[in-house]
Amino acid sequence: MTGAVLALLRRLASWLVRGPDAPYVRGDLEEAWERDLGRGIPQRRALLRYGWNLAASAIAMGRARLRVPRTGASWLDLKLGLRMLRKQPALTVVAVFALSIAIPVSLLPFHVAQAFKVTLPFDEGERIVGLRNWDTEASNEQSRSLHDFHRWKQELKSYEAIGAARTDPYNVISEDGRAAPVRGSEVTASTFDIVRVAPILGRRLVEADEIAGAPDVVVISSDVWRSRLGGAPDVVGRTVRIGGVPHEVVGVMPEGFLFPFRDHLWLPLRADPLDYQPGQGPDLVVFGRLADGVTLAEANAEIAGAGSRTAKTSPSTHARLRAEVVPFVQVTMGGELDDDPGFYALQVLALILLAVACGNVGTLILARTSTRSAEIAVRTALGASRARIVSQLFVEALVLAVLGAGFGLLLGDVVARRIQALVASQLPFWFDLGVKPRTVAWALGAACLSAVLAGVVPALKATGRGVQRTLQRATAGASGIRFGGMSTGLIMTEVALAVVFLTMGAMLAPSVLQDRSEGMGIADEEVLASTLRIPRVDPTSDQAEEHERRFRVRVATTQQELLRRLAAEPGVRGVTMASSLPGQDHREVWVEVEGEDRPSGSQGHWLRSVLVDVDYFRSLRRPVLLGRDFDRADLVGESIAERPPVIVNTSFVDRVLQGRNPLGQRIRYIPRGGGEPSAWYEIVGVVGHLGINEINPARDEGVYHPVPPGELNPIRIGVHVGADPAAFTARLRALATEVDAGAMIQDPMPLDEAFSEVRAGTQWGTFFLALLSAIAILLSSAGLYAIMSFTVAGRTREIGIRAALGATPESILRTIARRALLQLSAGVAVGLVAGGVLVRLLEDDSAVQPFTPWTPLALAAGAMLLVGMLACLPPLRRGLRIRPVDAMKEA
Amino acid sequence: MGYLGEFEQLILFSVLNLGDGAYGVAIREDIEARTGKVVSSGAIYTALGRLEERGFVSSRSAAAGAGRAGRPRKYYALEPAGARALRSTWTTMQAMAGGLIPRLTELAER
Repeated sequence: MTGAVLALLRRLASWLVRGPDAPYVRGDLEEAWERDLGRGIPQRRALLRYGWNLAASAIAMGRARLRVPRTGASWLDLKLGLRMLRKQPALTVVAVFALSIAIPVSLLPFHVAQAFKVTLPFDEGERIVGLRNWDTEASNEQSRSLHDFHRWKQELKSYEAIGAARTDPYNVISEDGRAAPVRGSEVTASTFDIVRVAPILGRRLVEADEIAGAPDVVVISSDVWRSRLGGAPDVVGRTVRIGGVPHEVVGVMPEGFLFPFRDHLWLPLRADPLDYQPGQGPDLVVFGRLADGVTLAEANAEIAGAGSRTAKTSPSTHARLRAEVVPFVQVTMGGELDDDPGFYALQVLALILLAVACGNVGTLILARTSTRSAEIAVRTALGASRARIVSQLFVEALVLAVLGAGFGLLLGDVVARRIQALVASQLPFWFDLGVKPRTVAWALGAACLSAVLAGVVPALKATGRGVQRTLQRATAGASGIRFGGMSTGLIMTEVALAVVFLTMGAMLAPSVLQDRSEGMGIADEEVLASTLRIPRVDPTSDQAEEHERRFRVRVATTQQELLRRLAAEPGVRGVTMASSLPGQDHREVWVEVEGEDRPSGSQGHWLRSVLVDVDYFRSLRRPVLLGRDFDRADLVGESIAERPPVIVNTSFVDRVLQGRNPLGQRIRYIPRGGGEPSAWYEIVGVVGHLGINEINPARDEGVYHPVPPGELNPIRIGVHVGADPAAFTARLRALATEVDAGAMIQDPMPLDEAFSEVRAGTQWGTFFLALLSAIAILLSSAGLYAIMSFTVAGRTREIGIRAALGATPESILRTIARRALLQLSAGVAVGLVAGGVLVRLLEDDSAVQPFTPWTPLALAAGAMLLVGMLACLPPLRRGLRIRPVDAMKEA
Repeated sequence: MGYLGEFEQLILFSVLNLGDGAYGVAIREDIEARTGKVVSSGAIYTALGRLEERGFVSSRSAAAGAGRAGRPRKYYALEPAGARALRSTWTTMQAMAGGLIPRLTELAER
C-alpha cells in the first residue's frame, strides 16, 4: 500500500515539479522522505509530509513560472464570478446540476469507506478490538470459536479484558402478554468492563450470572424499557418472559447503547466449552479492550503465535485458520473496504466520471470565454498578465464548482439518510452514512479540482494565442478560440452514454411502472405477511443427533398447530406457509427439460422456484388449471422419492416448453457455477400467475415444490384477513406464543407493503439511471448547443458573404450543422453498439428482461437524436437569419 | 539596497547559519527546527532563485548525496550584497522596534 502511494507521488513529482530547479527539488523530496523515516516518523505520516511538500512545491514553482503575483485572485474576481452566474443562467444551471451530481458520485466510494472507519462511541473506543479466526481457504470468518475464546482468555496478555457475545432475536413477552421479537445478545459479564458503560438503573451482568443454574436475569435497553415496560421507574426486579422463560430484569442500559450490533437485551452467556467439540458450539463474536500501551500490531503478533500453536495441536480444525485482531467495527462489517483492489477501481472510475463532467463544463466555459475573447484581448493589451486573466476565469469556474459541491452535498445527505433509514435495522448501531466534516473537506477539494479542469484549461487555451491575433480577429467580429478534438470526443462520449443509460432505464421502467397487482394473482393488500422463526439452540456434542431430530419435530408441530389455530380464527379466510409468498423475493435457478438439448453456452432456462405448503394453492384460492394439485401423499412414500412432483405456471409452459403439454415432463436443476445437476422432478400440474417474479412479472416462469412441515425454519406465513391486515399482528403473535413460547413472528406487514419494499431497490436503481441519463442528455445537448452557437458566431461573416453570393439556405445549413450533426450521429452509433452489447449481456438477467430488449435501445437512440437536433435548432435559426448587410457591417 | 520579505530573511539567516552545508533539505529542516514553520522545498528554491538573480546568494551544484535517487544537490552561499541587505533589513526593523516590544507584548496579550 505505502509502496504504491509512494510510487504515485514520485510519478506526480515528475509531472508537477517543473523548472530549472526541478532535479534539486525532486532530490530534496526523496532525501526528506529518507530522513523522516530515519527519525522514526511513521510511514503514513512521512507519506503525508511528502505529499504536502510535493503539492506546495508544485504550486510555488508553478506560480514562479507563470509569474502569478501573490495576490492573483481577488474579491473582484469573486464578484465577477457571481455576476456571470446571473448573466448566463442557462450555463449556470447546466454546470451546477452536472457538478452537483458528479461531485458526490465521485466521492461516494471514499465516503462509504469512511463510514466503516469510525471509532466506537465509548470511552477510548478505539482500543476495543475484535478477535477472530479467519478461514484462509474459504476467506470468511470461522465464528464457532467457543474453545478459542476460552483459550485466548487464559493465554493472551495484551488485553484488559476479553469478552464474547452470541447475537440472536428473542421472543419477548411482556407482563401484559404482548409478544414481539427483540434482537439481543448472550454476553460475558466482561463485556461491560470492555465498553465501560454503566447501566442507568440497577446493575450490569456479573460473572456469577454466567454459572449454569444461576437465576435467569436480563439487562434491557432504554428503548425496550420504555416501549415494552412503560418506562416504569421500578422496572428492576420485574419479570419478562424471553422465549417462554421468565427472566428478572436486573438493569437498564443508557439511551443509544446497543452493543455489539443493534441489541436491546443482554443475557448471560452460559456456553460451556466442555459441552462442545472444538470448532463446534454457538457462533460467537469475540472482542477485547487492549491493555495500556499495547498496539494492534503487538496484539496481532501475540494472537498469531497462539494460533499457530493451536494449529499444531489440533490441525484438523485449525490448520487453515489464521487468528487475528482487528478494529471492532471490522468484525461486525466484514473486511476493510479500502484494502480491496476493487474499491480502488471503483474510486478511480468515480473520479473519471468527475473528470468527464468537468471536461464538459469546461467546454461550456470555453464557449462562453470565446464570446469574451475581445474583452480578454483588450484587458491583456491594457496590461493584465496572462496569470491574472487565468486566475479570474479560475475563480469564475470555482464559484460554479463550489455551488455544485454544495448542492451535491445536500442531495447526497438526503439520499444517504433515506438509504440509512431504509436499512437501519440491518446495520450496526455505529454506522452512519450521513455527510461528515471530512466529506465536506473532500467535496471542496473536488470542487477545486473541478474548477482547475473546467476553468483553468479553457482559460489557458483562451489566453494562449498571441494577443495581436486575437485582437485582430476580435475586431473582425470573430472569436480567437477554436474547439479541439477534446470537446468533440467528450460530446460523442456523452451522446453514447446517454443512449446506453436511456436503454437501461427503459429496460427497467416496465417493472417500475407496472400495475402492482398484475401477475400477483391474489388480493395482496388483504394478506398479512410475516416470518415465523423458532430460535435454534446449539446442540451440545453428545446430543447433536437427538437434538436435531427433536428440534425438527418441534418446528413441524409448531407450524402445523399454528396453521390449525389460525384457520379456526374468526375472520381469517385463508392461511399458508412457503419459502416466499407472492410478490416476495424468490430463489433464482437454472433448469433443463428432459430430452431437450441444452443450447451450447447456455445454462438452461433461467426461472424462479419456491417451496410451498401442500395447501398453498387451495388457501390462496388459485386452483390448478391443468393436472392435479399437491396433496399430503406428495410428502411421503417411496414412489415420491423417485419421482418428486412439481407444479409449474403457465409462463413456464409458454416460454420453457413452448406450449407443449407439460404433464409428465421432467425437469432438473443445474448449479450455477457448473457441477452435478439435481434429481429429476415430474410436472404434475399447472397454475396461473402468482407473483413469482416480484421485479418483472413479464418473466415469471416458475416451479413450485411441496414442502413438509418442519423442513423450513424460518418460514414465510401469509394470513388472508381482509381489510387492514396489520391490525391482526397482535393476535398472530399471541397465537404463535401460545403454541410455542419461543416462536417469533418477525417483520409482519401487509403483503402489498412487503412487495413495495422488495421493489424499492429496483426503483432506486431506475431513478439513479434516469438521473444519469438526464445528466448525459443535458450535458451532451448543452455541448452540441455550445458548439453550434460557437460555429455560427465565429462564421457570421462567412455566412453573410455566402448568402450575398446566392447560396441556398440548404447549403448554409449544411455548413453550420455539419460538425454538430456528425458528432451527434457518431455518438448515437457508438451508443447503439455499446447498448447492443449491454442488451446481449443482460438478456438472461433477472431484473431487466422485457419481451423485446431491442425496442428500448431503438427508442433511446431515436430520443437522443431528436434531443440533439433540438439543441442545434436555436443557433441554426440564428445562422439562417444572418443578413449579408449585417455581416458586412460587422466587418 | 533592496527590500527582503520575511520568508527571504528566514532563508538568508538559514544559509548564513548552515555555512558550507546550506542546501534545500538542510535549509528546510533548519527553518523547521528553529521556528517550527514547515516550508515547501519548491518555495525555498524559487525564493533562492530570486535572491540569486539579485546577487544576494551564489550557488554551486554538487554530486548526489545519499538517499536522493541519484539527483544532485545545490549548495548556496551568502554573498556580501546579500549580507548587507539582510543586515540592513534587520537593523531597520530593530531600530523601529527599539523599546516597543514590552508595549507590543502588553497589547497582544490584553
